[in-house]
Amino acid sequence: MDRVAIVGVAQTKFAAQKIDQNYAEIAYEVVESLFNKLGIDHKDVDNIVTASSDFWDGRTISSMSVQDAVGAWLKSETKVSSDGTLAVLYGMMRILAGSFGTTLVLAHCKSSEGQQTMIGNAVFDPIYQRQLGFDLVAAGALQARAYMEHYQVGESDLAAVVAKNLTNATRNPNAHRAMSISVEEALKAQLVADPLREYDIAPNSDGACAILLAREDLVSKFTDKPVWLSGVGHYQDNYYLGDRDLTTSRSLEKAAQKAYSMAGITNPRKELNLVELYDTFSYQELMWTELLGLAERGKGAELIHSGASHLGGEIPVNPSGGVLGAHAMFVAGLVRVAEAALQLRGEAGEYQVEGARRALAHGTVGPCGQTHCVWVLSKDK
Amino acid sequence: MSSQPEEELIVYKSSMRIPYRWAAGLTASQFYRRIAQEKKIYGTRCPKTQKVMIPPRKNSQSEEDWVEVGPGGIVKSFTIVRYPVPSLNPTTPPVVYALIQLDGADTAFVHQLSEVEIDKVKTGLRVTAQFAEKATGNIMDIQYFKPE
Repeated sequence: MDRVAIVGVAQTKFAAQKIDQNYAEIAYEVVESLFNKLGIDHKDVDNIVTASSDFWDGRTISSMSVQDAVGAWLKSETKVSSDGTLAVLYGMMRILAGSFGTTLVLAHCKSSEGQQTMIGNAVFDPIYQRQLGFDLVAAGALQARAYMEHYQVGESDLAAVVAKNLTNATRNPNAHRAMSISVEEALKAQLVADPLREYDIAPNSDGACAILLAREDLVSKFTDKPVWLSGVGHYQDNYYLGDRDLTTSRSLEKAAQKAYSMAGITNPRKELNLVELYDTFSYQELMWTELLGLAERGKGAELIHSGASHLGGEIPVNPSGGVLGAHAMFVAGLVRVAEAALQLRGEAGEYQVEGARRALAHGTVGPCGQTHCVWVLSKDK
Repeated sequence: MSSQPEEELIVYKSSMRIPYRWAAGLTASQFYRRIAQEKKIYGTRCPKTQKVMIPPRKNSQSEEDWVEVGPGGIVKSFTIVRYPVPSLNPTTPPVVYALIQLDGADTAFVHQLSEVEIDKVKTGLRVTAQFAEKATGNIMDIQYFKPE
């Protein structure tokens, strides 16, 4: 089978409100940046896959608004109305199907433009749930408590995630929320939805990310530092929160197993050099690392307390600061892929993991991690 | 790039209010009709797994697969939302949301808790449904859950 590689990545700086750009212009900025880095133009792109949300853009068919910006005229452009990691999966499939040689994957979101609590409420169906008024943050808080009580995980364990990731974000020039914060300070932050406090919850960010995928035989035309897509798994779980055991995520376990098996990984903690996770809430980093097989169930916090998941540790988790450092809906998963690729190219600047050869990038969508997509990316073919 | 001062940049403020007419379907209609007429909560038993599901699902056409559950149940998890909830009236926080497993049901569902002191809410708390005086055919016909 042909192989597919990431041959270029670009992202905007993430911020609370990018008032000088409309949603198409943040897409234009990042695509122009990608093209300039690679010295190409839209004629070198065979196919375009975008990821964005009608609800966040406040219009139908949100990809229409960015089609000019990505140079999609007289080309195939299709949208994944879900996380950017799934747009990469679809983009890879369009190449492997033999239809296209290169695929541009773009995700954009301006979280500042819509009322986030109301959009988060619209995730829930209008027949049985929506009138209750709850949103994605309240749903996350229900899962946080279920997980924490089941495994005796403490608030200070969540604060350790906050302290690590927001401090990592101070090294990342694109981060939105970056601060050297201690565990004690994180524990003093205001309660938003018990047991979650202000910094346990990802900020709402504006920003965009773009990557270029290429078929094996075209890779050398674009770069001498390709990052190979070596494994992927995508599963989803039940929609209703009460149908699931919220202390775990079967879909993440299955997605990880699939991705590891495709990439030939048997001991992820030893064979991966770094992990970029989509953790919308601090507790999710603990849960996700456990379900990815990097820690025992209920012991995710030990990865942090032992220093293993810090920068310079055995397996850094979210060296970029992760989603707690910047969260643009559906963009954040593509940023995980881009950050993992930067690490494998040795281009992660102040938060570079030395000698990284294999990385995991993860995306999730839906309340309490309903859907997961796990990527294994490699420097070596 | 232009150097237009930020205060001169236009931010167009608007909103979308689009009326919808969502068909609840036969199953949800029956669920809400029984709440309105009998003040009772019914789930559906899956004919294959025998699990009693709340909310009810259309995986059985048989009347005998409707099973009364609750009105009592147990709090499996909860949160106290401390920000205004714009779709509620009044929107004033705090609002307590709980994942509740009703007696006789195999799945849990989310609803609000009321008539309870916030620091008394615990996982494992026994609660019971408070039905709304006037049913209008939606999930707020169970007005909230309160301690038993």
